[in-house]
Amino acid sequence: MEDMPIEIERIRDSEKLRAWRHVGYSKRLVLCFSGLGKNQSQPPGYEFASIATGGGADHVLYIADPNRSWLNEPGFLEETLDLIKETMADIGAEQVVALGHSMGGFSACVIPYFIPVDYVLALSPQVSIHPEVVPDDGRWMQHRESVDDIEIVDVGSYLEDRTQYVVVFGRHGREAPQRSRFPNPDNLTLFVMPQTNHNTAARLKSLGLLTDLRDAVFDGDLETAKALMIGGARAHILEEDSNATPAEAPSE
Amino acid sequence: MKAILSALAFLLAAPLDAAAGSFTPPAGCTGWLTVQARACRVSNYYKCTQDAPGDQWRADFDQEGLFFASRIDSEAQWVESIDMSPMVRQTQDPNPEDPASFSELLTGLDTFAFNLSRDNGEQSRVRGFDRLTGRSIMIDGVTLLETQFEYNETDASGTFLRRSRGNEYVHPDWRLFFAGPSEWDGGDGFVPLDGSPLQFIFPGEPGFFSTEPLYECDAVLSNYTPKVPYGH
Repeated sequence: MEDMPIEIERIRDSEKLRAWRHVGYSKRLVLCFSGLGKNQSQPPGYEFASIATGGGADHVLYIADPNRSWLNEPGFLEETLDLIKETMADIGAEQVVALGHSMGGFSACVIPYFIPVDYVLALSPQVSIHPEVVPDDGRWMQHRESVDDIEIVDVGSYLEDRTQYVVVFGRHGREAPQRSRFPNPDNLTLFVMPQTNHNTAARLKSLGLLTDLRDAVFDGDLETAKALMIGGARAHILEEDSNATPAEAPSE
Repeated sequence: MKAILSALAFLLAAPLDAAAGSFTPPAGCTGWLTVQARACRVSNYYKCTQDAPGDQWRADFDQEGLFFASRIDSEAQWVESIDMSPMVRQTQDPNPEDPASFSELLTGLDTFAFNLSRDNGEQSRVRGFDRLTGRSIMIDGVTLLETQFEYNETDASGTFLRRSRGNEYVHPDWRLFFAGPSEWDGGDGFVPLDGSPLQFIFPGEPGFFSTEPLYECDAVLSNYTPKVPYGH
């Protein structure tokens, strides 16, 4: 299923917002937020191209922030919300879900505050890029420092009770500044994968779990998601108020 | 000891942002090999005049920068390693029960049993073996010998910590191990790993001593059929 060719059309390419669309045939709209992208000299492209579509069935809006601002670039959020609402109306969406890795995971976790979202799958999201919230995380500084005004300070302030969140972190110590501060309410399930750094998406793909996990989360089947993560990825679930896990040295 | 301290100081000062692009080894050290590997890792190898003959350093980078460095000796024994997050230095204790021996491995089988000490107070015992399978593989024009390995690591009281098994690759002349397809178990069952090398880059070649991993990084870009000619 992950290799099924699908069609993706570019629908927006401005200085504020890049967006692509896949037209499906279900009544589900997937909001697929991009991370920073590997090529830092180019604006980020879309991610999870085929996987986001559920074998082509679901409509997908692929959303990328060319300014890499974690939703803080003035106008980006407003333009994105307008686009989502237009698409929802266009397809008669009965369900909206969100997906993303890293900055995309952060966006996927925050967007339900602004528009109703049923399920979120966030892989290695940041809880915050604010230096006062994560003073011990020195990653992505070239992009974090270019955000003039961080209005969306932390994910915890934007979680919605009506949304079910599944969040996946790697267990490596590098992830601890974000992982250890991530909120963990009842409607959020936080998995921690062994032998994984920030590359949860690639690890899940290499383990053959990503498509099934996506399907389980967006179908609201948390038990299957748990079985995949625990049985297939040997992940742990962090219980509420126990968001602490020992750091893990990399294997040789 | 001087070399260790200088290397540690250097690593502490090393840029943690992979966007820095290029890795410069410490003074007195010379880089000679860069390996781009699966699982979003690039490793830079260097040798230092201050170290014992045959010693080699390896500095590992992922997309977020330097995360691990290690030094091995001429027999590929683990001399020391430094994990960056959190910063923990690990050394092999003197007088190992059964020292790892690259020379012995090249005759077919090498068993090993040694103790490790970390500067956070943790101690562990490692026991296992490496064995040549008799197969060789060519990766990016470099011929490597395949090995089978297995090890168990316990704490000082014998309590299980982790184990791993699978395949690795060795280069007889370089006296280096490279990761291969394997399994790792931290107590919850084995999980597959594969950090196999994909590209060997030498001095003067593009990408030498790069800090930017190239393969299996980021979120997944699956197959697609773009509707617009310029794609994304």
